[in-house]
Amino acid sequence: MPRYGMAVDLKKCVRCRTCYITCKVLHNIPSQFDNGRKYTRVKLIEPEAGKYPAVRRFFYPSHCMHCDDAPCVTVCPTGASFKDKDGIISFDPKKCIGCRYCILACPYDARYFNHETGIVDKCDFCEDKVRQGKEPYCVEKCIGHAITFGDLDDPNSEVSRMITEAGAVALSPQLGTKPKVFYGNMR
Amino acid sequence: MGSKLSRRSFLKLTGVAVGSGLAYSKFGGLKLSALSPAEATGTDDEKWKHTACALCLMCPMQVKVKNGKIVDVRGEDIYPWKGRVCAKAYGGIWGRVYAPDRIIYPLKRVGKRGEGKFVRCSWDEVITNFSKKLKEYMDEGHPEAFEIWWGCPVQADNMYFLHYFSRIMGCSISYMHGQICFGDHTSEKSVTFGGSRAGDLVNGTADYINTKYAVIAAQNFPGTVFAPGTQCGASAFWPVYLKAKENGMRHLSVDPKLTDSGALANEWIPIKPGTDGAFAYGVANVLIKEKLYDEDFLLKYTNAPQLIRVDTKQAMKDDAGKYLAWDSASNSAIPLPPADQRGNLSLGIGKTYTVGDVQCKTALTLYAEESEKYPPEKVIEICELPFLPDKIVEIARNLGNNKPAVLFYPGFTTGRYTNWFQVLRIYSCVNMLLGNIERPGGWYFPKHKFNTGTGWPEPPEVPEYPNPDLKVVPGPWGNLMSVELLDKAPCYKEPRDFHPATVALPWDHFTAMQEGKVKALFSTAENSAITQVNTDYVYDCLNKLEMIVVGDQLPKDFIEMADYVLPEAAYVERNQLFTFSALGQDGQEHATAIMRSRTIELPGEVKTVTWFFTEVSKRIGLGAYFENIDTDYGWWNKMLKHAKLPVTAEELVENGPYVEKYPMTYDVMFKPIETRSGRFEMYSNELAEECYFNEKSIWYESQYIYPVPCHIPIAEPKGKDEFYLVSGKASWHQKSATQNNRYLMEDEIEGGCPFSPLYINAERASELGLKEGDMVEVECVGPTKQEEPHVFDDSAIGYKQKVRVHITEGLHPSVAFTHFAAGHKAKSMLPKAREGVLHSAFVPLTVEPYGGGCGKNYSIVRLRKG
Repeated sequence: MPRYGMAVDLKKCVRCRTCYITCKVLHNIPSQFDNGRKYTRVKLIEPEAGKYPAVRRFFYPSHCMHCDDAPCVTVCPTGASFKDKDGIISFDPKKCIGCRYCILACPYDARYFNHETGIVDKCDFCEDKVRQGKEPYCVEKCIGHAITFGDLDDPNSEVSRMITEAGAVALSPQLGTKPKVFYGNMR
Repeated sequence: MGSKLSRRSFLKLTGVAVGSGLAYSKFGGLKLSALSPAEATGTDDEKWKHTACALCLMCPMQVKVKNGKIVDVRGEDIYPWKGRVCAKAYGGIWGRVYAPDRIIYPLKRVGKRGEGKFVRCSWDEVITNFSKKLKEYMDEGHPEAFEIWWGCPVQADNMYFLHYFSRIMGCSISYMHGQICFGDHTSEKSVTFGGSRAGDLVNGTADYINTKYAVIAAQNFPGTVFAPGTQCGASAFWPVYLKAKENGMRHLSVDPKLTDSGALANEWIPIKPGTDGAFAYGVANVLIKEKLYDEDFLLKYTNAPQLIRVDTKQAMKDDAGKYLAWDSASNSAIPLPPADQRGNLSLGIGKTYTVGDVQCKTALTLYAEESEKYPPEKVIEICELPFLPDKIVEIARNLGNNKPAVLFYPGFTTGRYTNWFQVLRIYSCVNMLLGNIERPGGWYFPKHKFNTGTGWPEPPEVPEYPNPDLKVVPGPWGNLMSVELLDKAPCYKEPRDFHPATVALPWDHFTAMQEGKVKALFSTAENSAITQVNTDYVYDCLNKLEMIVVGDQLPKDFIEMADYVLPEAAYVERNQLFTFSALGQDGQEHATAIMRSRTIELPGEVKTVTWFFTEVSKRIGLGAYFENIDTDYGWWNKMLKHAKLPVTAEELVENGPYVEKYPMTYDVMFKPIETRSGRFEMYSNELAEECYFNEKSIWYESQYIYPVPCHIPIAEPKGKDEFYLVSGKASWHQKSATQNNRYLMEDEIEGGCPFSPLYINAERASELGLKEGDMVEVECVGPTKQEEPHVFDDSAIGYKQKVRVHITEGLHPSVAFTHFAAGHKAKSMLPKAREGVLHSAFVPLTVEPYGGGCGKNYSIVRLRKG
């Protein structure tokens, strides 16, 4: 059984926002202009740093980190949030009672509450696609081929090599949740 | 068409979730409903179909159609896309084609113009009343009182057909948008490098993957750019850019703003607006002083060695009228030889030659003398660059030491200021110094373009054209236009007022409206009502018209000014051929033909524009010219045949792109240089003879077209609370097609680059006591007619609007920045599209001599808190 993870090579990320929009439209996530609410599974983090003129703007897409020790799973009272056998932090909408504990527990702010359906939503690594042997949409559509997805337990997988060879790292590892999304060439 | 559904069902069908009462999806109070035949039958077909995007340009893509509805999108598997397309391609399908506020019925205005009140009407009513108006003008002998404005060659439905209609009816046609986009740039490149090389140089066509050092000014490069050799956007450029970076290209962004994609650059040079000429001359100064120029290139391919009289600054000619150069072997003046012949010519920097009794200097010497006005410390001061003068030396040395694999590009979009023609000329001359044209890593001209012609039906296929002696001249994008039209007549008179490549002369159209010479208008694939500068003046002109008809898929400002609104077929609902020769990330030239195709059925009563004008032609007695024209395939097959391609439009639709692959070949002389000297012109003989030294020219002795390029300062903000108001595009936005888009306009897509607020430099904001999110009143205070000699209409002065500010360190202190297309006027657009300031409303209309730019960023504003 694979243990799925993802790595983003920020050297190849051109900030085109394709990951954001494909996730939205291909998962039928309502537009902000449908309901006045900003639902998204992918957040684009783009902080400015430094003083004029020595200023940089960093950029990375952020979503569920599919942590091995996921606090959202721990706090979920119904088992709606659970870690699947392949490591994907999965979600059973039928079991969700909308308590939103998981939203509060997630240190990566990766979940949102859907007011229309009354349940929580977040990135599931496009698990339906993945289990058909396909890639998540953001991987498949990425203009810069910056995102890789695969088995973290396979040392020869592209995603493993991004970590071992290109030095991709998890965000805020000190939180101890053991995220399975890694970022290479942070700048 | 099948049975009608409620709007709620329509939304479900289109895949847009039905929301709460906050849903924004009404247009003019109409209920929208549509049901495609495929949906009605419920068949379970699923197929990837070949077509093309149109949100910025025409990236080849496939759409997956299931049960008659598009459910997925991907790029064609050809270079440079290799299966990928950008965010706009997805926003286009779900935020435009399937938008709940899609216009699917003809509409008739019932309120005042601009009020946005419409009711549904029939196609017959539109066609009848529109045709009546056209016939009236024809019967009066003034068909030109009706104008077609089209704005985008890929979003417009068959621009060749529209030009054919103009030729047959005798009505006017204008690519109004083009002049605020790139018109003056094309003129400058034609003047300097000759017409046949202009387009590729304007587009920035270069051998990027072999480039070592690229200095790129403005335009949010690489996110808002033409991919090399294509007329496609960033989807095609990013793979090339990434390959170039992988190969070691260093990219330096010269821009007042650290733009969203400019942040990918290795270095940011924040420059004060309008000072680009001084910057480029500063670079030239170092290149010349340190002898970092390419002497061989200058002698062989440019008129740098051409002799210019010291007394008059005119070209020295022999008795036969030939331009002269100095021959160092015979120590005498000889006719300037054709390009590619170096002979014993001398660049003669700093020297004075005597020809007969006339003292002469070379064109390069005059350029060098001008450059001496811009030593590094002076450039730092003029451009208000936050660096030591050594930075200019460093940039010049990086260029000089890495030549010819270097690029020095002023950006694609131009017409920013009245001095821009000269700015472009100075940049062009720096590229000549670097010898980077048709060299690995430099500018490149694709050698395998398909010549498709226009596809116009010709006799005996149709009757003899009316007015058979009418002269037609080249129009934009390979079109043909009557020389008598407003945009062309001033360019073909003797002497010319404007260069023939100037695309459009907007102010002449506005004057014609004011004078009642233009009475009716049809607009498609553009939003000139608010994209042309000096919005109040434009609205005043539009309000004088007897009839405005606008076609589109979604509400916009121009639609609210219309008397009739046409529900136009979207880009994936009609057919169109495109050809280009892309430079791939594989280092090859890919001569490509693709078809945009109708992948889904037309919703509601949506029709193509070609259908509409065909119907109109029948009512105005011109039906014979349009009957039996097959705009789905026949038109494009004719163009494919013209290009001698072994493929049909039907095959392109069914099988996808046709591609011929060639190795890149570097050859400066692959075709003749169409300038007056037959060489790339550092000293412009055309500007000298046509304008500066021509007493009959309206630009006689104007320094704005002086044949040796010069930097001309523009008007400046004066008070502590005054700024240049500069606009620019976000890389996930482009033009009217991406505006009012419910996905591309979302807050969350913006990351750290919010779309609507006014950006202010942190220190300037602090001086004005402004904090993030504060509201300010923005007022246009310049340039006034006193400050700037080329202001045509200054009614924008005094225009005010309120906006929230965004404080950033990534902006030149002299600038207040707004995204282009913020602050729309139309009430029927998304509320967010109306937030922010409408940049065009703050720009007095200026006319740039000869190049005809409209100063689209030339605005000075005052900010007041509250």
